[in-house]
Amino acid sequence: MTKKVIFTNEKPDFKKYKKRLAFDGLLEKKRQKDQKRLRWNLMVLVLEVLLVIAMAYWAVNKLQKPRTFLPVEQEQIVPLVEKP
Amino acid sequence: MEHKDLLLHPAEELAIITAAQKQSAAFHPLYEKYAETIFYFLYRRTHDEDLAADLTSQTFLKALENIKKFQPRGVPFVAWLYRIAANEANAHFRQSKTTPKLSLESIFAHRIAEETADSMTEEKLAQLATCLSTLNDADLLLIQLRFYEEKSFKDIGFILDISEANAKMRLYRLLDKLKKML
Repeated sequence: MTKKVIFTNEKPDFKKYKKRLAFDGLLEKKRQKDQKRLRWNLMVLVLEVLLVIAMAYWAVNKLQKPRTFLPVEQEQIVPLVEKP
Repeated sequence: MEHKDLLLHPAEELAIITAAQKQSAAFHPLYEKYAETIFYFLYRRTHDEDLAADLTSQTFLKALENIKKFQPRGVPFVAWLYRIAANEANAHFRQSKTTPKLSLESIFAHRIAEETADSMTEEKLAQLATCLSTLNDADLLLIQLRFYEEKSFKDIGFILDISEANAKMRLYRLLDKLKKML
């Protein structure tokens, strides 16, 4: 990595950038960033709520459903009392 | 050093910081006071006016976002701004994979010369630029902060996240190295 050091007496004029670096612009940038962050946080919150609802629905359904058994073939049923 | 249009008493500055921690608009006097200083600091680090302006804007945006975390612990507010600015510049160089190009005023080169050589001729100045170019980024920042931004060792320590004694030791070792090179 090569670094360069220049010795010069030329200096940019800060006044040229006064408009570009105006405080109002900075506040506006912050407002936009805050809004973006708020929107993102809100989206995450909605997704979290949806996930909780989905998990609760799944859990309730699983508990309420009667247990199902596999169908048993007729041949496999052994009569309890033998026919005379 | 740059001219400061606004002279704020430390107590007054602290009151503005406290107000800015509650409301962003109260940050205005601090911005007016330090924007030019930070701009020139970043210009010296980048040798690019537009880039320095962009990085100044980013620095103050970060400062505004994080002002609630600022706690005055014996270091001035401007040192905190320098720290953010240095980090922003480093992040830029890392992301763009470019190397820093330091632009230092030759009229202030005598400050380094006083520590490393007897006199500063044109030839010595060119030699100094070559020697400085061999230093790593952190060392160059240390030289810039001490001789161009005229920061105290305490402030330098805070900006570079090292102790005051370490900052002092590192600078003297660096000057010794430069003395041998010149």
